[in-house]
Amino acid sequence: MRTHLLIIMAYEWRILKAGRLAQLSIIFLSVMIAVSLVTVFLMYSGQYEEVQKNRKTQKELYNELHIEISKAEQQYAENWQTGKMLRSGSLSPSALFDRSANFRATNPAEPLTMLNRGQLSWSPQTFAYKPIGSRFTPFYHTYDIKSIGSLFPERSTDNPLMMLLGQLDLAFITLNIVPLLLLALSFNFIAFERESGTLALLLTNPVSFKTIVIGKLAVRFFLFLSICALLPLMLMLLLTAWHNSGNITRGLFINAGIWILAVSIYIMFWLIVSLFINAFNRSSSFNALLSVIVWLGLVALIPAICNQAIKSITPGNLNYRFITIERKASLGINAHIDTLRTGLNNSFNSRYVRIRDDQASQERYDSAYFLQPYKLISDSELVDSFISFNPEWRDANTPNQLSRILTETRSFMIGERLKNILGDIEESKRRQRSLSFVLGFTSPTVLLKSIFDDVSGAGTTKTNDFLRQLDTYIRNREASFSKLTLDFRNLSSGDYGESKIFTYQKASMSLRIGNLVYWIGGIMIFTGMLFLWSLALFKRYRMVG
Amino acid sequence: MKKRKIKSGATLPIPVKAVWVIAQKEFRDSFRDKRLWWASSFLLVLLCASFIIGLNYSKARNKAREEAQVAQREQWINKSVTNSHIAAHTGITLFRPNSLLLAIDNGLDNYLGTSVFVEPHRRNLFQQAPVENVPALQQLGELTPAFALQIIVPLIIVLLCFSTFTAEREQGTLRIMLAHGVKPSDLALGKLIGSMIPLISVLMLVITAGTASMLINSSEEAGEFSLPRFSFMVFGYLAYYIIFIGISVAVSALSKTSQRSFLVLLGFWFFACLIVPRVIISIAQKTYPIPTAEQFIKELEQAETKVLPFMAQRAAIEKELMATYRVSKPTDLPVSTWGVTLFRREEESTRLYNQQFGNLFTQYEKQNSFYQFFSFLAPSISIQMYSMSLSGSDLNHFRHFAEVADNYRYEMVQQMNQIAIESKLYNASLSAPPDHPAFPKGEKEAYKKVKPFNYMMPSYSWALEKTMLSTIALLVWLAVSIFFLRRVLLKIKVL
Repeated sequence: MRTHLLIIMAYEWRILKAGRLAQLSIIFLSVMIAVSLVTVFLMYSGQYEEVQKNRKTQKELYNELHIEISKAEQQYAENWQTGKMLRSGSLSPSALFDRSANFRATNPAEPLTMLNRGQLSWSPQTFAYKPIGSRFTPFYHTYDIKSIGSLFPERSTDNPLMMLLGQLDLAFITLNIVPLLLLALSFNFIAFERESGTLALLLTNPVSFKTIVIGKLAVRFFLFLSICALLPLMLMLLLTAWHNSGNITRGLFINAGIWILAVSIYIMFWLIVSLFINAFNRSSSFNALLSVIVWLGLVALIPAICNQAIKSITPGNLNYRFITIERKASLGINAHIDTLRTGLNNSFNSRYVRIRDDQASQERYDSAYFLQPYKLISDSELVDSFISFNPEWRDANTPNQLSRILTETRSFMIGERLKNILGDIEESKRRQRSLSFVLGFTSPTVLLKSIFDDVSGAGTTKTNDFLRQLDTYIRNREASFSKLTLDFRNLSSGDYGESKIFTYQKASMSLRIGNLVYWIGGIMIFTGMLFLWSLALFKRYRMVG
Repeated sequence: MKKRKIKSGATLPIPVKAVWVIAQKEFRDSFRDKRLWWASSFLLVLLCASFIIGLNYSKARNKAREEAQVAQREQWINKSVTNSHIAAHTGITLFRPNSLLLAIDNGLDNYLGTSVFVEPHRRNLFQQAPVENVPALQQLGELTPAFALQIIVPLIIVLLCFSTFTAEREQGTLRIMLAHGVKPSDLALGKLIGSMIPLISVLMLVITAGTASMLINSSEEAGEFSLPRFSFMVFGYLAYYIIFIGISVAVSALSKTSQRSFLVLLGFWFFACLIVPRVIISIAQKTYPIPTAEQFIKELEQAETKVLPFMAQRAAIEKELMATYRVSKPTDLPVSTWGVTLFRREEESTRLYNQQFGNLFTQYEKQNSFYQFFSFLAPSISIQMYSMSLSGSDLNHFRHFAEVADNYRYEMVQQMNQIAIESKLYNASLSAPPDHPAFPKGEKEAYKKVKPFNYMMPSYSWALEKTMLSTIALLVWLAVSIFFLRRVLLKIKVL
């Protein structure tokens, strides 16, 4: 049987090589894949460099601050009484917070992103963090008022037409073009033999019909798997190794393996589709027509219908509602806090005057501002509300602490006012995710797309994970600054350093495994069911005539 | 011409009647062949469902937009700030309006921001594009009437027409028909009329129902419906279908077998509708690169450094004003130096920002022109750009809105700065912080003087003018396909 199979495969390969359609299809597919790899690799390199650059900038900023703090510490140790008094100027938590708060973090592109751009074309991947009130970017914030500052998503400046049409990446080719070419080369792989009378001739040999079918399909399987998965993935691994001085992580190998596995099952599915079509025992023309309909339905129509269904469950007014609520909250709270702050500053500045080059007046000012209790902001429901939620601020009473309370109250209370709408948005996104997870089971194309997005880190999962980590990092940083203020502490050089720079930690494989099993299993179920149906149809198949 | 009842199979020397006989026969055949009716019914359901979903979505969004714009106005008028410049800084969010035609073709709408925050000193990018709120599967496409009309209908045409001549040739009836004196053009026309009736019925039904529902739903709140734009859209799509019909029939006439005709036409459809657009836009992106978000910000920041620091500029302006008004003390000036400085800086920053944004839009336009140029290679590009333009969802309409919005921003900010100019409260000291009231009385009145934002979509002729290249390409394709079909039919081979 094995020898027969190999012979059938060898003959089938010879037939495919001789056919003009097969030649054209293979050349076309290879050229498309080569073009896509070159195009997307150039983009990937750009993004990779951007991540490195951002990290370098942040590193430089931190190093600069670290040196400055160390110098100042030394200077203060020599001249002033260290630790007894908090200083205004460059070492105060608020001054340094403002200086160090300007940073940008980019969601690092995965090497496999070059094969599947996914939503990276339109979804912001770089976020600039700014303390409130210092916005020097044309990117207005969206839903990110969770912390004291704001995260400004830097939206892609790509041509919207480009976003609409999409990239010509390997994922697009595998999802859309490969099935059509597979069907074009297989829609009559049995019908042709039957119509030309060679099937009967073949069956006169000591070879089973099953072996003939498997042999013919196996050639196509290995041919397509090599062109659209094995070769590009190997090339991508080589390029990554070249980019990273020979280092390839285990995670990348695993993801590349999952990609190849998923594509092989997908190719198998489409070959079974052609088997199913041939099992109807109809003419080649009928098979061709049915192939196009099946391809169109599974590749284009069902995903498009799913998308429309998912979109239609999203209330179209959430963005508008968010802006209205956010503006209302910001206008009201900002005006109130500004009034309180002006009152505090005016009152304090009129009592303690700093005279230039007069150290005594500076010390008096600092001592009063950082250490002496001051009259608390009176009759502010907002501040009272903030303190009731954050009791650690209850005993805070120096002007410096009061100023910090005002800053925190502003962001906290705006966040409180936005809680409901943010909840609605989150709920809507959650429903969308659940629905798209369920609707994925309507087409293997949707399932494979989900796998591609997951392994290449180009889907929502990684972006959400990145944002979660960034949010936690920002909250922790802000909390540490608040703690310094509460503890009457100044900054020390230990508060800065490379270890404090935000670095995205990739999600562990164990978190993704469930989804991957669901998606891969989905394609396998599709393939298995269709295979069983085809077998049932073949029981009534007329080999001759 | 004498009319008489025509029986199937009758030999008729009169061409017009031959066309009808063939059409009747074809219609009967197609009526018996349930596949065609299934395809037509499927198309009808697809178009209706996508149109209804699109219309409801568009209406809901427009309603929300209208409410949000009213709320913005209320917030603008009723805010309490003590200074005209701070008042300008509280800003207004402007929302991009949508025409009802977006229910047919939403073009780039998903990828364009829906709102922009207008404030002093800077022009912001648009935010909250609808695509940010959809799952990652968006890349697999969306079921819209435009998708059905631009991609699915041509495929149905290919499926209906690929065997127009090859089936007759394979059955040997082509030779008989031509021997009876039936002209190939009459044969083609008759077959087309007969087989296209279900498709034409579906399209006519959808066009009529679509026009009626959009006329009923058209309102300021739900979005406006432009009949001329819609009519031109219909003509464009009809031309697009005639192109596909012409090419399909011509290929069928040239092919020896139905299988070959089918594969050639399927290949053409596949290249024209799916491959060429993606390849061309990728080349355009490489040919006319767009600055990344980071580069764009850097360019803006560099541009800002060209403006003098505020205090230095204010000191110079104060000197200049004192000389102009011939006063010896700044407090004697009849205008506020702070206000004049803000006014002039706004002029300067607006010029710089417009230049940067202009450069960005120019790059987009270069890419789009390059893409449009390839309409001559694929008719799908021409209909896509043409339809998008008429539905108001292309980049030209977006740029038009963005510029109107920025003009509004400039007017609003300068109106607030004018109040500051007329206030002399800040002339006492160069270093005085601008936290004194600049609205001595009737704050609300000053805010109200800023007119509400009102945007009028440009006319259909503007839209047509902007998409001239695609329109010409569509017409060229139409002419070439008809000419090609005519040539092929004149030289048709029986075997």
